[in-house]
Amino acid sequence: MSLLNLLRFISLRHMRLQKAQTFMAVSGICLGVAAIVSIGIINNSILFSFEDSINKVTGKAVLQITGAQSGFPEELLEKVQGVTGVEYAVPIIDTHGILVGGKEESLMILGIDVLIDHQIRSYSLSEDNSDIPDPLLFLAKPDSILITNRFAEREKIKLEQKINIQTVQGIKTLKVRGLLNPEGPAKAMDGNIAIMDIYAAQMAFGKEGRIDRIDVSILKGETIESVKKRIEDALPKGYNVDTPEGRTKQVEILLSTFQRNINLISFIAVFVGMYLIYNAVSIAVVHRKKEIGILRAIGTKRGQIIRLFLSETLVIAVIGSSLGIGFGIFLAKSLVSVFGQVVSEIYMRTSVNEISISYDHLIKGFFAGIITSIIAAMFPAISSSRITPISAIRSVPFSEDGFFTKKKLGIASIFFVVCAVCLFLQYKLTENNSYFHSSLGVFVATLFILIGLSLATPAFLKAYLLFFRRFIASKMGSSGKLAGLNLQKNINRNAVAAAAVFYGISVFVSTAGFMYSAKMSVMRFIDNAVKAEILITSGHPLATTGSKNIPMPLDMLKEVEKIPGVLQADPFRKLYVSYNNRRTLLLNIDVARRLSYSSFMVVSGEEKNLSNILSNKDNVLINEGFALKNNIKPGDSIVLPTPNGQVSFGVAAIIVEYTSDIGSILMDIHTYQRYWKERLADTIAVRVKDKKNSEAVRKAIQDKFGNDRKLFVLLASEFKKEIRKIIDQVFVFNYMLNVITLTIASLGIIVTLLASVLERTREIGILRAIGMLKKQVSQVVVLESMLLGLAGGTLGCVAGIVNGWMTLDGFYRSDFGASAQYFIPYASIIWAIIISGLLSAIAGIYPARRAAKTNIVEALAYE
Amino acid sequence: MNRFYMTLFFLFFLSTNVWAINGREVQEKVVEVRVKALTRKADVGMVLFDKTGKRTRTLNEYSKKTGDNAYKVLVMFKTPPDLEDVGFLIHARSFSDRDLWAYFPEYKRIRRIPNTSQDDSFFGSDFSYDDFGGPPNIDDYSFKIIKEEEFDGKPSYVLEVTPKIRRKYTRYIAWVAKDLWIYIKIEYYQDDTLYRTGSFKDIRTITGIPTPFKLEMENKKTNHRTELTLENIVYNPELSDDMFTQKTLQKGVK
Amino acid sequence: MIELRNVSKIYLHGSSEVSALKDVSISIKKGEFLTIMGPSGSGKSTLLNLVGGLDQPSIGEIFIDDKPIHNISDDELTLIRRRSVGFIFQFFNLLPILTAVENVSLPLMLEGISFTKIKPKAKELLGKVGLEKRSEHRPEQLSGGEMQRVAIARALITNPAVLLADEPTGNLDSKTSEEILSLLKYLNGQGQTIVMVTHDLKASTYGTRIIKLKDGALSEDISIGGNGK
Ligand SMILES: Nc1ncnc2c1ncn2[C@@H]1O[C@H](COP(=O)(O)OP(=O)(O)OP(=O)(O)O)[C@@H](O)[C@H]1O
Ligand SMILES: [Mg+2]
Repeated sequence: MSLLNLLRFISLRHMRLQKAQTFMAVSGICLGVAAIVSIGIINNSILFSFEDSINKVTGKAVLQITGAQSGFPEELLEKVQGVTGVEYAVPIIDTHGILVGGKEESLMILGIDVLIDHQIRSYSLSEDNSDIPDPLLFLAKPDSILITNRFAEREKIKLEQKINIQTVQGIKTLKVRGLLNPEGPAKAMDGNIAIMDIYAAQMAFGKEGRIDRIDVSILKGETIESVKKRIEDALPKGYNVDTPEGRTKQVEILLSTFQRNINLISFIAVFVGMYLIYNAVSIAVVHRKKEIGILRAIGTKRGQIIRLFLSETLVIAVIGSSLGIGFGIFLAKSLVSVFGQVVSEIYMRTSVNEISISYDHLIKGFFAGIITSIIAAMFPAISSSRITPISAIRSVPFSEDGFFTKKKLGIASIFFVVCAVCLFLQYKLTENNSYFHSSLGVFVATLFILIGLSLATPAFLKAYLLFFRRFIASKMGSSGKLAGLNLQKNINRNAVAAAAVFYGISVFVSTAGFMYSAKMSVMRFIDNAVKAEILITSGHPLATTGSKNIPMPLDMLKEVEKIPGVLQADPFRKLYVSYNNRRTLLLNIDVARRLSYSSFMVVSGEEKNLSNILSNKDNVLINEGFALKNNIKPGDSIVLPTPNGQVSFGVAAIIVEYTSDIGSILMDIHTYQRYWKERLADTIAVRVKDKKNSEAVRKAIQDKFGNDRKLFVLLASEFKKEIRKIIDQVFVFNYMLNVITLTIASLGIIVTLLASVLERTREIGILRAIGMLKKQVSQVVVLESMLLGLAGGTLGCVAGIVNGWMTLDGFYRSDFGASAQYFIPYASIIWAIIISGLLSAIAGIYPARRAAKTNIVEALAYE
Repeated sequence: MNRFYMTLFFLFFLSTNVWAINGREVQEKVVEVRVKALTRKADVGMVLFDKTGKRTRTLNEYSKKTGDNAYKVLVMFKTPPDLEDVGFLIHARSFSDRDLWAYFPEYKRIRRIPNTSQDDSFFGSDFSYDDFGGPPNIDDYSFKIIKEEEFDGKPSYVLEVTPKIRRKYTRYIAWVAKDLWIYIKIEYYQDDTLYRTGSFKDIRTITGIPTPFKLEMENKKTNHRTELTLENIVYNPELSDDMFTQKTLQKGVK
Repeated sequence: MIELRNVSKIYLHGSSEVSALKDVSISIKKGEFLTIMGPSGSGKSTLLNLVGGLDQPSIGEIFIDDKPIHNISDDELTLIRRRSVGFIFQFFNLLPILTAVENVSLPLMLEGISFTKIKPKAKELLGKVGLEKRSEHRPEQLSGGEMQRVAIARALITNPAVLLADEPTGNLDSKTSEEILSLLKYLNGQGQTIVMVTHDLKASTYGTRIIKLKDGALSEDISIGGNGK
């Protein structure tokens, strides 16, 4: 009750009077919550879209049989159909093509046995407005394809129209013999799905006699488990019999790195938002010190004061969090397709255009906003209760607030830094896979570094201001001197503003650090791996299952080599295999040829004679990530599923290999062909006789094949540029994080300066009365802001460098390999300093204007 | 997809167009006439109408009675060129138990068309597998003469056929010509909605067997229509068993 | 009614100690109007703050109505401030964001009573101090004397055992000072115990007893006698 009185008569009035501060605090929470909510929703939507696509494409099938990516023999189908308990077993060709012309959209192409597949999936064809006008023709002609109404509308394709689709066999002309209504599979992938008869699909995609998957429904009364077991027994080893849910889980595993990365963003956003609240409440406490003293003097208990500030925060947090939810949903809506695109490019093709809101995330975001705000408000609230009643009566200027004394700050700062160092050491010194070797530990360590160093901001600021006053202020005239003095007067509070910038900048610098390092490592690897001058791909140079890649037949190699000026053409085939139930990249190259002009970056294991060990032998190389995840050493052997069953391969060496973040295995292409019985290449690396002729050779290649198939013929330099672009895309979320933290940091500065200006009303009034110009007043405030920003920025750079290094170690090294080296991002640091100065100067503008507007008479009359 | 089965459906009708004084007896007579017409050959012209226009195709049809209720059918397409040499082969052990194969020359592949549950609609079409399964098993339905009337100039029994177990088409109304014992019109209902109508015209008696030379089926839902015209019908020709094999399906009829 | 026994107050100023009060024992009876005088820095305010529970003595015991207010928890002390004592300060110490009537109501609002219930009483008190027309004004719209009247009304609203005033007229001109002092005198006439610190010799004559402090020690204790002027 008494709390309600206080809230109503005191807190609400303050909120109304200090609209700007209230607004900042609300926006801080709003941004943090929005980050959690939007990232949660986006994550959820991407997963949901995968799941949904899988479900729609799966239909009634409860089990799916998959083998190696290149498919398995048709004959297996009968075997599965013969298993007891199996109701229907239907063959699937699951592939994709690219529509040539139009928007170049990629299509998921499902080859199904149209005569039986409706037992598993439902298609809306003949009812009323959509049908296959001539079903018999559809079955009789191998060029028949069905596309969805949605896709047809988008690409302006009509029934009976011929369309060109880029396939393994070159560009194929297919005829649209029917339009699918959005039902069942036709609803998946936002309509980017086409259906062919299985045999037509086999012909078009060079998969004669092979199928990619068998979908199985089971008889009533049978359990999935028992039928699964029976099918597994009936099949040779190396086939996966999995439930569709299992496939969803695999997608989850595949995306886990990505999701971890963006979850981190939401976490840090909340942390920074939390900091803003701390900042706002601290300032409110200082600002209202006298009020608190009076309240205490006339009989308000300590607990009441604490509760008052906490409830004020609660009110702000509830408003901020609610707005944050709305804003988060809005953000998710506007960003989801961008995220979906990135995921498509890097991991798996998907098209997410709609968000699926999970109330889980909304609730999580809401309470995260409230709880973190309350926690953040706790420290200043407790310190507020230490304000003695006497301080109200003795109208003396404040001695700095009680909770964080200089000594305590120093101790806490050192404590956090030491903790961080311990955590990180523990991470470095413990074995991989041990309980203590967790990324979480590193994350907490980076957080501790942030907290520890931010607690050192007052000390840092003091030294910094001394330096400023001694060496710089003298050259800046009265504004400089005043600004320096003003800042020195309230070191602790100003340090809070500096710390806001500190957080923003340290996050900026640390992201820049590990992004730069990851990029440098990848580029170094690429420089080593790509010695060819020209690369031919049919799709995006890095995408494997990404949306736009159609492998080429190996026969093309010889034809390429016939082109004058070509020295050598090497194949490169990549595909996914499942190892320990995890998708793993299998890379196949002609090892002997590659070794003739470039070596591998071997980390451990055999280094010499690799040509003999690998060429057409059952030996492979693995990358560090794969070795780390599966705890494999050179000399071990790994068992991989091949179309011919499980085959054991010896691990000759561990090498540096950054093609993917999910771990990779490198095999000689002859070995691959022997087991996978497939002669395809995703990329052909062409070396030319004379480098000067590269451009001419490129043109010759383009001319020779350009008509039959759509190809990217890239110069190595262009290829590398593409890769750089992709790496940037991977980190697009980190850029977002930078924007969020820097925004919050600016809000922090505004809040602090505003409070400081309000508090100095009288002082400013006096200065104005004795003849200071409005312009001069604002100059002082902007200068103060800039000084604070630069101080925070400088310290932030230090924390950022340390954190970038730890983040690289704790998170990215496990994906990219231990050989990833840390590079200090000098360019970004210079940028960070510039940004911190500029941003804080801009943030100072509003408070400066408030200060300049100070009414002299009122200011002097003010008690 | 429906047109294709519609075709099969009519083909079957061609080969078995027979019909009986209470409802069930009328049906028994109809079945009797149909069974008599089981062995025959014919040239068929088929025209499909839909909103985009019409398509024409021609085909040869051979059928042979091979047992009490057993028979075999071979259908070979002649035109259009896209469908040339596409063929169908039916081996029926009884009117409702049959194997069906199709041959598609461009794939050089014979495909078995699965004999699935009678009620499943194929590819979401309004045609059920039951439609081309031969005359329905008399015991599965109840028959009732609801009236007698003249239809198309012929005195007819109007028969209401109701499946004993609920089916997609919950009811048929069939007009059976009194002396010929063949259907001259069928209406298919789903509850109270008329789904499609078949009519059988230009009835001539060949070798003592009443035969409709012009058949029409109209789907009321989709407004699609199919017309069949028969020519060169020969009943009980010499057809060897070798003719109704997958080999002939693949090689064509010489 | 108020008992101070051998009270000392020592402030720590870095490493040096300041003895603000040295072994002071006073007993104040109900209905007294005690004025405390002494040179600046002699410990007057310190004494008053101790009696009002704003601070705790370093040594010694203090009782209000025989209840000890030394060595008790902060919450207990806070309740003493809220319920048993009314404060009037030299600088009024009103909350600028509240109107006069709200300021007056504040101590009772802390008890959780709703403002609408308190308001009549608060208005009545404002009337008593001659401010019935000013109840909706904020402190900044009031003169110094008016603010001090509001402060007096706020101090009275809990019917405190004792009214403590630290130089209540220190910031006012002599005419207004007289009005305020008359008001206090009037309240004392109604039976209100008052302890007032003042520099002003004239002001001390309104009281019934004068105590003089010097260097933190009691130097004189003069009774003016009776309740009359
Ligand atoms: N919080 C404090 N910390 C340190 N010393 C204090 C504190 N409060 C008071 N003192 C010291 O105690 C002594 C008594 O102060 P007090 O305020 O009681 O004097 P006073 O008699 O009220 O003076 P004045 O007439 O100027 O108000 C002074 O020397 C003062 O400096
Ligand atoms: Mg004093």
